[in-house]
Amino acid sequence: MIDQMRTILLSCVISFCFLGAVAVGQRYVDEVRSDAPVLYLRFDKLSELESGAEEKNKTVFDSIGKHHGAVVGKLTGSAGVLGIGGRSAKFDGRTSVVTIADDGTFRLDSLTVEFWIRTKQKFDDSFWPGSATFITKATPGAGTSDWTINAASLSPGTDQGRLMAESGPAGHNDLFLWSPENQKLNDDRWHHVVWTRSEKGASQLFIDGELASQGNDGGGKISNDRAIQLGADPIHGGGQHFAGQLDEVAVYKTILSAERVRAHFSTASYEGLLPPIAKRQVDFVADIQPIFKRHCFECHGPDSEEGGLSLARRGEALTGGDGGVVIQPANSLSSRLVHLVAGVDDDKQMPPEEEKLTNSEIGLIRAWIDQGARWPQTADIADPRIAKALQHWSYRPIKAPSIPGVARTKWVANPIDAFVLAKLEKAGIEPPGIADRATLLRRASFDVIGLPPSPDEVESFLAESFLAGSGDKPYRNVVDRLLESPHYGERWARHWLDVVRYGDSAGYELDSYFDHAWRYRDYVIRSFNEDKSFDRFVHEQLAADELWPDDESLQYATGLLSVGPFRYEGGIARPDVVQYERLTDLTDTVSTTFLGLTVGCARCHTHKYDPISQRDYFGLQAVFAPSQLWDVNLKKAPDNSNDRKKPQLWTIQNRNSAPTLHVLRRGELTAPAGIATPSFIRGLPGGGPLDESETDSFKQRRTKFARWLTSKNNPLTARVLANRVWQWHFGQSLVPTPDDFGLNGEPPTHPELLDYLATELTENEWKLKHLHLLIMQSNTYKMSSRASEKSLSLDPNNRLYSRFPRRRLEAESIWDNLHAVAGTLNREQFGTAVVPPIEKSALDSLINTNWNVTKDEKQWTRRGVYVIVRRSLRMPFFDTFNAAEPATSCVRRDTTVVSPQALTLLNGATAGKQARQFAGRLLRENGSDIDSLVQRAWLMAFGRKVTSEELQQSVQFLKLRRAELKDRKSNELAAPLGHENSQPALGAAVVEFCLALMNTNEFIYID
Amino acid sequence: MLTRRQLLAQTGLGAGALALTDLMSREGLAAEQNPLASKSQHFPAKAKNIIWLFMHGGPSQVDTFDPKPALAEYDGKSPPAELHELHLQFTDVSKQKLMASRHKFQQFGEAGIPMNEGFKRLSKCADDLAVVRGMHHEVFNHTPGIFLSNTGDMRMGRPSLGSWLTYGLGCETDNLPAYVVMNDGPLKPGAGVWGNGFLPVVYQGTNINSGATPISNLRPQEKLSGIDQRKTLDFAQWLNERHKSTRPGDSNLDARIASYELAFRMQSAAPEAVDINRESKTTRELYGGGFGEHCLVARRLVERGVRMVQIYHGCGGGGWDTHGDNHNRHTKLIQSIDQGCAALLTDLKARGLLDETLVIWGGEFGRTPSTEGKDGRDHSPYGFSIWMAGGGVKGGQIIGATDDFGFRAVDDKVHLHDFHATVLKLLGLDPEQLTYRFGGLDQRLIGVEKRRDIYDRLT
Repeated sequence: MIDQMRTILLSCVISFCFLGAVAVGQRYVDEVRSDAPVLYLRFDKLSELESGAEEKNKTVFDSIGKHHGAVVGKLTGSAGVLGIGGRSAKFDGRTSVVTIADDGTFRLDSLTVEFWIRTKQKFDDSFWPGSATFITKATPGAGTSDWTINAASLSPGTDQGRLMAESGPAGHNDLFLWSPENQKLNDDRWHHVVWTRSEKGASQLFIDGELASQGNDGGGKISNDRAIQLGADPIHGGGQHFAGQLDEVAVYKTILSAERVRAHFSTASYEGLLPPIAKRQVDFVADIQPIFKRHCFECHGPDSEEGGLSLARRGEALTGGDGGVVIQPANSLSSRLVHLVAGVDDDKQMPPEEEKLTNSEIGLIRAWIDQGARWPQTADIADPRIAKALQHWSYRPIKAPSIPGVARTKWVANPIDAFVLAKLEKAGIEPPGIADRATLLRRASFDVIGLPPSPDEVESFLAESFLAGSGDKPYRNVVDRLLESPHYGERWARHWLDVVRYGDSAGYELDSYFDHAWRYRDYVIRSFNEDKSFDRFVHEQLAADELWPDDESLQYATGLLSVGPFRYEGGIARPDVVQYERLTDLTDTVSTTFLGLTVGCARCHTHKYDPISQRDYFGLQAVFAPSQLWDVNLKKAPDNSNDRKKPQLWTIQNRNSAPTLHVLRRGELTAPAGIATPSFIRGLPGGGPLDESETDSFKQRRTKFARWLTSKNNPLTARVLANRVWQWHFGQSLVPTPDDFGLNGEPPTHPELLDYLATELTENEWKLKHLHLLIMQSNTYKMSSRASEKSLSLDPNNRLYSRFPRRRLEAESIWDNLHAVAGTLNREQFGTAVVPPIEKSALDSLINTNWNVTKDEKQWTRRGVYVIVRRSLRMPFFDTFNAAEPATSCVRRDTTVVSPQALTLLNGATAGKQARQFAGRLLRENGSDIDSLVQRAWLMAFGRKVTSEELQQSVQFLKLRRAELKDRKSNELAAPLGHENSQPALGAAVVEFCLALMNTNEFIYID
Repeated sequence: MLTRRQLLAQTGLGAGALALTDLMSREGLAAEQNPLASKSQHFPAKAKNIIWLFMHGGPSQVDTFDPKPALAEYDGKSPPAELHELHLQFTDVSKQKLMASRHKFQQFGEAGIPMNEGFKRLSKCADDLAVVRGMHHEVFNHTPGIFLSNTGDMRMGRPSLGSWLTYGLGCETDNLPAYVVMNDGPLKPGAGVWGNGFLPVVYQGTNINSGATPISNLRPQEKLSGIDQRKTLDFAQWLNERHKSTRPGDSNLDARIASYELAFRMQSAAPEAVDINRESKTTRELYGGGFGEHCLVARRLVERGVRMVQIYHGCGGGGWDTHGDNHNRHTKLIQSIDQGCAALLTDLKARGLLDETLVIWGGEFGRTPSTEGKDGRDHSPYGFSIWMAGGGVKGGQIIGATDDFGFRAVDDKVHLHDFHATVLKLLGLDPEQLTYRFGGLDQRLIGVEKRRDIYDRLT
């Protein structure tokens, strides 16, 4: 009963509004009727009928005669054209079609077709059959007596937002009339469309009352006995459904003159709906801003921009929100802001809940707009978030800091030490001594080239150091040698590959291999080895195709943009979804990599902490939108028809035009909310929309982005990089949250030191080796990792660097170390990814096993950086030791200790084989003298001399095990590899001994 | 042969190495150093463990637990226009015809739960089942759908539910992995499904197989079979102790020493745990072969303190992905899991384990009530059924409903995220509080938005 009551009440309310609207729009209807249409669909009764479940009720009524339209699919009522009122028909883009059966009335060769459209649908499909059909009387084939009006693009793939009217007289060529290129009709506004055609073939197209295009199709018959169809093309099936609103569809037997068209259009304006304009001079500060403050600021104020709109500052207010421009200076009639506050649009009223604006307030706003919307600069209200953000340490300009004074000046080898020591002294902690020479060599060696020092290097370094006394020359020589080593690039490239989420395959179900990934990996290694200036390295990776298109050595430099995860499955492909996922991956990866910011949150909502709005986020996506993957072999963009099982060879290229991107509500593709303009984060220095005024500006977007990243006024890139370099040397970073330099991240432990390093970097041509040398010559780097009691109690997390941070080797370094110590490391450089054999059980989890083990067995012992990174199956050895997950940017390796790591080194095939190789190497190089064998083993495995106690225990272990194993048959014994074994029992004991060494903490922890 | 102790004594490795044995004991390693130490819940838990029976490929709701008489009436007719807008992977709804189930349904148990009568044994457990018919999400392909079901995100590289659970709750056993996965073939998305994502690798699922080496590297590789592993290990541990003694205050070194002893124990505990020959003949016959064996192993694992076991059924071949011959294949598929499901519930109940073990049955999505080709059904995530039993779940009830044709969830809809929130709650975890900091954000399994769980309805 109550429900019934409510229904009645509701329908009263609806009819009331309805009556009001009809009255308002009556002028338009009268104009139309005076021209005697033969069909006039107003869609006003639609809302009553759409809920009827019965098929026969699904009808839209002809308000002139009896040519009612039959509805197929889902058609809903929606607000009608502003200024006309009533309702419009909303087509869902998939199912909705309205058909008006042919009874002879519409077999016209001379006619006018008139309607209103409002849509956000992309018009990016080729001009025939187009992106969507508005109204048609189509037949198959060209020149077959028909006509159609649809949405299309002359440049497929580009959203041109154009309308096309076609007439196809029998026996002649089809004539296409196009709406102007610079007028996008899919801007979510109402547009008035009129198309006329005379028997002799003269055609005219009017958009919003103005003649847009005209031509002659040669004349003749364009009539046929087909039904008139709205919303889809009966000939070309379901692919061209219209998504949006249609209203006031009229067909005339006569040809409307330009004057009549203009008269129709002008009577549909909003004038009758809006409160009158105040008749006085209006002052923004005195009259308008108080209204905004009172009614609008809660959602559109200095620090809030719901729907992307803020009314606090002139620039942003005039730019508009996600829905587009809201203030059109000198035209209050067309200004969306006025419509919204006046509530003429019955699906939206502002403010939505709070007190509405009075008529006189609206009148003031109208007067202000009509008087030019003058807004003095001084009236802008600054965004407190930006002000706060600019106070945030990472957004402030980098300033070379002054070097702090310290008491223990002798400990200070360079400014780095002063920054560190100042904090230690403040905490009352004495810095530890310098690490012993062997430790220092092993530390530097793993750090710079990721490999252990050879026994000869250890021995000669110890001898030279002894001769040099306290002199630093031998150490400096070591550092220079390491930095010049070709292995340096391999080690440091691996760090970089983590950050850029490097992978050799696409991931997901098909997991196609990338043939371009290794080429990018080699490019990265070479770039590090030649100490390429890092700003140049950034430019190359983001925009080599734009900046140096002819430089073949840079063909794969943009791999950063093409080695990410890429989803492909069978079935009906959704290119828009695939493209969106790709842009999301790029935006998130690039922001983390260079800016150290988490922008991903802003995909769904404006960032809670940092000054990053949804518009900023999609503005960044728009920077990458023109770029596409390019299949080098097929010379086209990869699409779903390509054979994805073959290795993909991709580069990056710009499209011929920039696709239009939308800001997406909640990050959902189905909820576009206005065009996204390419821009850099507005709250950051140098941020804001890109200048796109030049032809083909879109082909320079990535170049501009790369230059902005490395420009003087961008404070983030250099800081982020300096922090990374420090982290890769010390295993912990100065900014404890290396992936978040924003307001929600942790501030740096040593802000001045970070800025000192960033300054050193930018003032020395962005050369990383300059920073390496600086860091490695500091005592902070050379100090011992042994913790004093005071260091442990006052600095438990070692944030102050009261000791050198001990660290576990990364997965690839453990792999490299095993092989290097065993003497099996294949030091060959570069080339395709190596696929070593792995346990069968690991392959069982894959549908497309496709694990094609590299044939040449020597390749299996290449360095870890050359081993395949397959997204759907990471190398179990690496995975166990916390290798980077290549789905997203990895800025820090995890080092959790788990028992599968123990099982891997104790029982695994790789460790077992290398233990036997190590044993063979020891026996081969030393003979079977146990003492010297142990001494040699220590130099190899730990890079130091064995202590007498260790020697004694080791010898005892070997002798005991040799004795215990003496009577075993040789085929029951583990055998060393690469050594002719005359003493199987000793050989087996040495294997156990080697396996034990490789399983020790000392083997994989670096002091 | 010398005993271990004798070897230690003789080689002079005694003192240090023996001290290890103490260290290795669970109590010896401080909780903050052991990421898998049992942790307290946010609030009292209904369930301690989970066994998730995952039907890979997507079972058809209208052929299993959600009968639709209207389908018979409209068999062969076009689906109503409002369904045409749904996206499917291979077909267009507007071109499909509704297709009635060729299976017979009956109501079972006191509660009268409708089930395909092919569930000859499981139907006897009807009063233990809470059938959730309003499951839904929006991902219609297997790979992203399976990722979504497991990780709450259709993209690869996020932590799975099992990883979140072991991160939040730890584990009740030292000798076995906390999160175990069994499968009867390769999964469409590969092993990333039980990945740890951005959580530490310690929370990764372990894929086990039956036999002597259920876990990778559990036995020394053949060429090393001659070595004495314990003696080798003792020598290494002696070196580790010496190394550690001059490096105070580094818990990583302790943790790694301990990890070797845990690994050593796992070598015998894991084969024992998966060895179903240790079960009585009656029990083995109760479960039957194939899927039933996996169910039996699952019971043995949760009995031993494993937090979560996931069994994937229908991997490799077509499985539940019945794009063709839907009816006959569902008959066979139901037959192949019926005994295992029923045995698991019955056996857990008999052992008093059902109260603390949440059993979940379901796939990554359901299937269209309409045709693909002649007699197949396409994927459909818009409304599908799962069931839960045990773990504090009130059985004998049906929650939610799909529309008349079983195409879309309409009443008491449960999104995948809501389902995850519900499971976490049943395990005593607050879905909004279970967070991990990554990428500058407090990440959650359930995503950023507030979820509507069905905890109250279930318990």
